[in-house]
Amino acid sequence: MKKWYQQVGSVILPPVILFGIVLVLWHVLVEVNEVESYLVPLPGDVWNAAQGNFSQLGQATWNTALAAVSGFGLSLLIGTITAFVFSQSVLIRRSFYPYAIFLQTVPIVAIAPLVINWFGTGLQSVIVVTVVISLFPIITSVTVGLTSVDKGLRELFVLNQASRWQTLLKLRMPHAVPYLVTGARTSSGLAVVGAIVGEFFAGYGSDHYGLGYLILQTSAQLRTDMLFATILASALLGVIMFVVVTWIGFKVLARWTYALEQS
Amino acid sequence: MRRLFCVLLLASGLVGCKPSSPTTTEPGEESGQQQKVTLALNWFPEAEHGGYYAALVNGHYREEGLDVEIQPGGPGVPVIQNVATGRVMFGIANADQVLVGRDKEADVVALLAPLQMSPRCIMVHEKSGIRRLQDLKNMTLAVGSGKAYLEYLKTKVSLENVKLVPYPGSIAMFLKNEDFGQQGYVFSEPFVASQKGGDPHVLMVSEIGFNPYTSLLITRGQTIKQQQELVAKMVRASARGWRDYLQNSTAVNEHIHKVNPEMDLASLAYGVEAIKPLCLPAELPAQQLGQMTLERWKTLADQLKEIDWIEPQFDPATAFQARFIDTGQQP
Amino acid sequence: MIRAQDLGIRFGDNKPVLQQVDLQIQVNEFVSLLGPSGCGKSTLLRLVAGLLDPTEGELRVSLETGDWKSHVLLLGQQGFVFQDPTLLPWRTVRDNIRLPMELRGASRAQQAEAVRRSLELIGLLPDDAEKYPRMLSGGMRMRVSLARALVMQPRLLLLDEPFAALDDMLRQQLNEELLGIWQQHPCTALFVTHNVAEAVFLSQRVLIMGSQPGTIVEVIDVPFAYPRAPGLKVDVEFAQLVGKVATSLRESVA
Repeated sequence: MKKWYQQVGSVILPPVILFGIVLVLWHVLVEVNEVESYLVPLPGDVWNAAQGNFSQLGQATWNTALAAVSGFGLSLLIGTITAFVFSQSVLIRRSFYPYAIFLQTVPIVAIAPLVINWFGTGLQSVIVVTVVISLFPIITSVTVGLTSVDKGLRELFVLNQASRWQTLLKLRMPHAVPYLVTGARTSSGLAVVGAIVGEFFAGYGSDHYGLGYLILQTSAQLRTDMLFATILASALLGVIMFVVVTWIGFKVLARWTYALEQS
Repeated sequence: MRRLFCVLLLASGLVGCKPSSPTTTEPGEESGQQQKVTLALNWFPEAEHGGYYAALVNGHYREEGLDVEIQPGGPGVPVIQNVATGRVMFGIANADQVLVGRDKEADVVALLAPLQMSPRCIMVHEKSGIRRLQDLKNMTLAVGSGKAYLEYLKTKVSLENVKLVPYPGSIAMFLKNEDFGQQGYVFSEPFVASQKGGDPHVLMVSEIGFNPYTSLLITRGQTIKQQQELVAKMVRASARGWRDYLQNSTAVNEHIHKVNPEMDLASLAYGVEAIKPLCLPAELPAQQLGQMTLERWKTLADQLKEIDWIEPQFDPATAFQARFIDTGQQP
Repeated sequence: MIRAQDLGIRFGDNKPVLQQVDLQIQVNEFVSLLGPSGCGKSTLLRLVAGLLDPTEGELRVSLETGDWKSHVLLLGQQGFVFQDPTLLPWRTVRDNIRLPMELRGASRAQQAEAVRRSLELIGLLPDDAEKYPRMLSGGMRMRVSLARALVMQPRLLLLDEPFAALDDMLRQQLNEELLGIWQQHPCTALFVTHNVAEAVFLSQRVLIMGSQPGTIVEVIDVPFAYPRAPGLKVDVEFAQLVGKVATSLRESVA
């Protein structure tokens, strides 16, 4: 039985060491090849840029996080309700599903003018774009969760003369929770992407300076060191959201592990 | 995930950034009698690129033995990077972009400045009564991101209660809202707005002194060293093209319309007229079209230093090379 | 209690799964349906349960009044034990057991009392009641399933090969426990299995089913009195009867 610090160490150390190696390699390659700073900055420069503009970076991350979390929350809500409706009738499912897919595949650059037209510029539009990008996984996963209940369980409810509502509330919905968690994990990462992309098109301005805006700004100024720092901050935000959602998922699914093991 | 990101980023960056070797694949190879040359535009083909198209259409490039391919640009096209890494031989950029690029070690050099005056403007409603940039207050202003002029404007003008929103790429919002203004180029958006029944009033950004050369012909420093003759020919032919364009633009505009159907002939015709005073302002004789002075470059550099866009110790002298501009030659 | 005449069912245009099934089951009788895999015994059980409707023939029930009605009335009056424990993984043992009462709108107090009674009947400890299904062994989960089937004190108990997935020792133990429970709370029991010894040990009558199409080919009485001790299994007469039933079963397949 490993001690706790040994266990933590065995998980944390390998990626950290790899990170260190990558940093060194990065620095050496850039120096040796005399790569210009506008193409690839030195890791030290990225760090300095991040430090020097820490409050700006922090504020931008906060703004984007706000949009991402709000959009994600809305996706959960709208997605669950939609899945709900979809689960009620095969006809409804068949009719509306293609449009849900359309929503997933239509490029944001095409939707953006429409979004701005309807919602104006600012945080609300960023949230709309976030929802558009992160909604689909929720719809699919929860719909599957609501409709894929084992025959035996369904028979159990029929045998006990359960009403449609009772079956929905006490059987289908709890059954769908693990699926919702799976969908949410995917959706959370997409939400960060969505917020940043939304900021590219619809959302920057005195109302809302997020990481998307910072990316546009720093790349126009060829401040590649700050650009790297911004991209890393974005990745970090994505990771954090993913980890938090996964952790919440674990907590929620504590009793379901039986079902998870089965599937 | 973070480290994976670093590795991928690093790998892709290093893959793309190795400067192309000066020997094998350099454009400018002989193709029969003509040398192949690429010219990358910084936007969709418009009147601001007219002179270069004129040089193509009227055969000036061909006369100099150059087979020029003009590559249309668009939003987000990285002309500075493409020229600095040698992906294209020549490009079009604005003076502030050239300085910012050089400050970040991108080796781009300006050769010709057809537009002496910046066409950058803020378009507001005639009704609003705003007549000076200082009067921009209590309204919504649509601007692009990453534009130096805006940062400079912010330091010179109060912009009280002005809400900044993203540049929409069309004038629809301008036409719809009264308290709305947006950035533009003097020969472009205002014309379209009047055509659509709007009441545009133009405020030139150059009024506050921010006046970068526009539509510059740029190339890589290395190219100037290694292919001087080629560069000289390119500048000569381009200048001739510009002189042509300002006098007789019909055929050229038809060509531009062909490569960019979005620009109709009426807009292009208007564009040429609006551009003439920008190319040849009162004090500049026609032969000196494209001229660049150290003083102008220094002024711009100081302004960019003011807004912290370039390092304080940056010296703009190496950013341009005016010796190819043939001021004595007849068109 | 249950009377079927010429009962049959087919799905779509396919061959009938069950055909010409006649049976009569008395009140508080323990009857086994014995047959090879695929003979339709589970289908027959589901017909009786009211989960399926017959396409031929008649199925009628009488809830002790002699007044024969449609079998669908039985829905909600029976306890059904599936082959799989079919427990809701997100509910505790207690919450799983009280599900039938909950669905019928019984009060919390009624539910609590019924669960307590059921737990006692099955021999589950109060501690077990707070566990989640994933924490229980296979045998325990089956006991919980049984407890749930019994929580409403049903007049009819239907069991679909409930112990088939368990090892032999556990199966025998649960057989004994089932008999004990049945004797404590008499009800009509219909037990589906493919295990001959189990069928003989548990029931008063064994209905042997043949397949393709499924129908009852033979009925064998089991004369042993209740309570039946485990020792019965080594009794000579028992063994002979098992042999006889096994032979009949083999012939039904041939």
